[in-house]
Amino acid sequence: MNAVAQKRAERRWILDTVVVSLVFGTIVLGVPLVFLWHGVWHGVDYGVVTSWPVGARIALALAPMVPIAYAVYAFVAFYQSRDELQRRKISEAVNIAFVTVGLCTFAWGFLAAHLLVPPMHSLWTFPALLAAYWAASWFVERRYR
Amino acid sequence: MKNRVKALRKERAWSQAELASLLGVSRQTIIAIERGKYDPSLRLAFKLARLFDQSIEEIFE
Repeated sequence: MNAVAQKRAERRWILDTVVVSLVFGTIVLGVPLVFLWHGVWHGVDYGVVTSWPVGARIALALAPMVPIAYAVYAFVAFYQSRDELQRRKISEAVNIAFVTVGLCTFAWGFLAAHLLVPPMHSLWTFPALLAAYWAASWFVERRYR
Repeated sequence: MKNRVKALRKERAWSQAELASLLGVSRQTIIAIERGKYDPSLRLAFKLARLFDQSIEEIFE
């Protein structure tokens, strides 16, 4: 792949990340606003409308997975557009990010089990992974410079 | 791992970008190889050897 095509793929990945983050944020923040708008707070228990049919609840619960699934697709396309060193850097950054977020999640879970911290919502996992990936990318990039 | 990529490239008066283009990799990859920060895959090493008309052992120590 030539330099121009690589740049184009890089720009595409950045754009995809921004769009996915915006859609994810809109869904996560927008769903409670929709509830508020329709005045259904009385049926909401921790952000879940318990009076709705199971199918609607499942669709609502899994709505944040749509942008995440697209992020995975965009990430694979970005990975395939890279050369071997760039792929190694991406793989290392992904490994660091997943291990870091995994360890932090475990630690938080154990602390929460002992009521030392509030329980963490799974919605934080995706932004945490993205943030950890960007931080790890910066660290890995320096190693090969 | 030390290598002679930079010397061989200069012998041919190629820029890093030109070599990268000939090999189908990014310029950053050429920089990392020349500085010994990255050991290329066997596939890329063979490409380099073919391009410079040398054996892999002559390019990489």
